[in-house]
Amino acid sequence: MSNSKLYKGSLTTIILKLLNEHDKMYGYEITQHVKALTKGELKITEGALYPALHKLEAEGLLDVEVAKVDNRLRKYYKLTETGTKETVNKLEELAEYIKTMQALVNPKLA
Amino acid sequence: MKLTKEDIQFIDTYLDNSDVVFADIRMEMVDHVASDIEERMAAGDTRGFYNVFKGYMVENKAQLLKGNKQFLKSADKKIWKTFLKELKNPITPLLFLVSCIGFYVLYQNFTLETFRWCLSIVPLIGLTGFILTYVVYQGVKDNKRFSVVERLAFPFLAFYQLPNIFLIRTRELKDTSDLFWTIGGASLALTLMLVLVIISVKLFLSYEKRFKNIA
Repeated sequence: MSNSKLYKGSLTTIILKLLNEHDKMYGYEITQHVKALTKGELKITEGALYPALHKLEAEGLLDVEVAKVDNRLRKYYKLTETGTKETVNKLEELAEYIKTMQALVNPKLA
Repeated sequence: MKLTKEDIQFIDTYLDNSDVVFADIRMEMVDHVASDIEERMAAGDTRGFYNVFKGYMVENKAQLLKGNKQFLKSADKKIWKTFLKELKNPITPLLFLVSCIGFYVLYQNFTLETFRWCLSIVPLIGLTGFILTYVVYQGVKDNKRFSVVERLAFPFLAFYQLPNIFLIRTRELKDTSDLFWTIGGASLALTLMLVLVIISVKLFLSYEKRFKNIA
């Protein structure tokens, strides 16, 4: 991730949230989606994205499917049942975090 | 514009030469690089595949290869997680119990030499299981190297050493305590190795399932 260390801790939540909204996604697609949604503000690098995806897969939160697309193999990720439950928890955690930060940084808006 | 088979092969060979030796890791990187190059070309980059590829690598090679090491850590994590899950399977204590009874029967009915010989082949059972799984997998997958399958060698080698600790006590077998530790230790080692063989087959099958739709 290029922009800020602040985003780093939220990468897992971002991935889970995106996969929750789509049936399945591949690595490059995730980076492009994040880039488009944040109007280029947040660029997820390969060095951050794939380790995070593999970690989530190893933890059993993601399932993998391989398909042949345009002369090459493509690895699609989708949420497992545990992954779907974890997404809800992570999003709640993040919302709570944003609320706390808001209270600290800008009490008027909190 | 979509890349040709030759372009894809070029990227694959380049990454293979850059120490991304496992096919399952490389596959994902190849797709990422190819998707990026295709997008650059679609956005109007007319330099041709080779130059666009070169440009991409100059900018991103370090980031791309960073994921390689991390992937191996995840592969290890996946193995140990599967292993621990399998340990909780009711079949595991049953395997241990059957091994204990089997070794005790051996001790009661055969000479001490035969008993010792049987104990000494315990490590080989697990090792043979791993080698067979590995050889079969390599054959099926055209000698391509797969991370999780290869990383399984580490727990196998660790457990291979385990029986040696207990076998030391078989030299004398002076009392019941020695017999208890010997049979218990050998059964434990045998059970752990059989569990590893089971998870090797399970991981092998999960890879098969993953790649089943590919011609």
